[in-house]
Amino acid sequence: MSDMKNFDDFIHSGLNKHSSEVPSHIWDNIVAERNKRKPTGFWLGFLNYRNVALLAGLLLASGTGIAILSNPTNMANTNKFSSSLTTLNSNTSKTISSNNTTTKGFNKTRSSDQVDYTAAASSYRSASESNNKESLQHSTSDNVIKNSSATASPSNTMNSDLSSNSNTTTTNTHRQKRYFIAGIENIGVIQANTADVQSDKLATDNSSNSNDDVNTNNSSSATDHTTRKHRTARGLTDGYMSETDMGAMADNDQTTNNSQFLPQSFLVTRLQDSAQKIGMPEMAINNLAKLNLPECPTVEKNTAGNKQYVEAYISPDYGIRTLSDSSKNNSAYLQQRKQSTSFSSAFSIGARYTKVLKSGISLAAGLNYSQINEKFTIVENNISVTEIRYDNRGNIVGTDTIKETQYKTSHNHYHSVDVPLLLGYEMGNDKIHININAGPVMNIYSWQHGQVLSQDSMPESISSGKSASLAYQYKTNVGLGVTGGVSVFYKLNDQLHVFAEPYFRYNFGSMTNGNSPIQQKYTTVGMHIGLRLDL
Amino acid sequence: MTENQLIKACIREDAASQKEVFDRYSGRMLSVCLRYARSSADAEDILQDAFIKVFDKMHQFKFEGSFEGWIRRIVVNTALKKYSLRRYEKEVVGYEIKDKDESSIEASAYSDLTAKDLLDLINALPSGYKIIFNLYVIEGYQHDEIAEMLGIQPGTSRSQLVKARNMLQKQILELQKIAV
Repeated sequence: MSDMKNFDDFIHSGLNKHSSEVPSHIWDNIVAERNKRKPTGFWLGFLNYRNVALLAGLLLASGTGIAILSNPTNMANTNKFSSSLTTLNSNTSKTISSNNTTTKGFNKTRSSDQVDYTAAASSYRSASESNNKESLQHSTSDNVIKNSSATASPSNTMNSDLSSNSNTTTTNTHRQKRYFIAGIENIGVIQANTADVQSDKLATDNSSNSNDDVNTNNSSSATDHTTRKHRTARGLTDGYMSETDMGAMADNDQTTNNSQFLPQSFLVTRLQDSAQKIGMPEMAINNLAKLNLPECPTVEKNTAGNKQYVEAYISPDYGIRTLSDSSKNNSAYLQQRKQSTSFSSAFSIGARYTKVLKSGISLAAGLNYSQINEKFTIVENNISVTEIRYDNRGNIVGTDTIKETQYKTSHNHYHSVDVPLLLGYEMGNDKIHININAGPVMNIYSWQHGQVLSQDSMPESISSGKSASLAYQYKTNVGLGVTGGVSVFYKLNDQLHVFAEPYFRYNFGSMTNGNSPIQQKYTTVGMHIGLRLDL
Repeated sequence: MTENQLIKACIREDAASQKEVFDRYSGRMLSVCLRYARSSADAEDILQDAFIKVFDKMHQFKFEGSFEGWIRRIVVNTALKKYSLRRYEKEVVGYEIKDKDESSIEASAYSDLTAKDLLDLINALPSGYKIIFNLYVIEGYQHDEIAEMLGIQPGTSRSQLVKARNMLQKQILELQKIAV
């Protein structure tokens, strides 16, 4: 045992640090080989599995970050707006008191997006009648009041601060619509409770600023009186708003809101029903049908349409290979080719621009890089390897014959850069969109490397090119294909969506040149996962 | 420049530092390659491939343990991969190993051997024996590790090592006789 150890130690010490003279060409070869391996473009080399995974993670992380950061911004705007109310409240111009008023459904928290209603509301003039339960008087000559606020008096059970701003942003359209619908639906509630609203004080101010003080006594809840549409509903219900005023209001609505609305007939019917319940004169009820009322918005009819997006995605893919014998006489070779190669992995990465028309029709174009990896295995049985044994003087002292079964495995890579052109239809609500799309995909450039089994059962390197004389050469352009998919988008915030899109891609042409004994084609299915930026 | 500085410079793809690393370690690594390769040309190919990997994977070096050991592992793995050893089914034919020659080998018998002699003797071993002998005796891998690397049973590794050692000792004895 110790002899063995001594022997091993001797060999180890003798050879472990042994150094041989290195021919200078090896370093040159290393430098040349490394330079050769450097990709022609940075991005091509960048697209290895690790970097692609990192990129995907980065996309998701940045999307999440934007989503999180965008919310505090909105909050900040709200806070900023609230603080402005304090200043405006000092300019009191109009006070409305109401007693025993019970209303439901009006939101008390306001934001700047509701301003246009209030501003427009001040342009309406309501006639006072002796039996009025609520009257509103506006002497403001200017149709647009920049800022207004209403502050509940200390006697109110709830205080509501209402403010407005003449600026209206399109992103707030949905919230406005909801307020309007809520107001209309609560007409009955207001009437059932026979609100006793009295006008205590009316003040007008022709300046650009106006403030409303709303005193509500014995109210079970405070009512948001400042949106134009709420007032419209209340005024019409109580029969105190003139036809002229309503028409003016409708005009204002049409100019300030381009959204799609519920049919006017629906609104008029509701108003007439309500008017009947409170005993309005029949003539007045009939006159309601002549009104050019603003339409109620539908819930999300226009959410998906009339938008532009930029989308970036990455996709794990699965390649379905088709091998066919072009000469019809090579079935044995076809079988060998099928057995020697198998799909290994695939992925795609890309970006595209999408335009969704108002009708929901979507058009998209982009750039897509995809890679399919294939495993190539060749088995060599009973390979005889003869080894010659030498003595220390270099004389041959014998030979050893070794039989081996050798499995050689390598990977083939098929790369392509394509331009997909997609026609689709998009629908959805404010949170989720679905887009069904399909269209042609045009190959810009393809390149391949690896090995396939030759007809002599030997590994043969494949190449990319247009040579007609090379049997194992693949096309640099595989031509036209078709792709289609169904995207599901989830809205993270006003600008960012995350999406998943199961898709397929089918190429009409073969990847191999026409003179290749075997024609090869890949159909790909996968799942695009990415982010969509609302432009 | 310290070794760590050299490595960091190599990670930054500094050509001069890469050349410095190559000059510093290539001689010893070529000796490693020569012990695994079937010819000196193969050994040079292995060395070339191994150093390409070394430079490509340099960023993965964690500055833990010996840098030379890390390079050596890459070289050995490249050599093993070169011959697809993990996928070989081996059958040694035409050579029978007799039971161990009971005549003990005097330490003085091999103490005179030079490194080149040893290298020649080891290279004269059948490749299956040679690889296991190299991995165990010179690289210091355990039988379990060798078994995992080569896809064989640990027992096979042990038996091949014994056979390789016996064969090597026998050749040394023959050298002794020739020398006498």
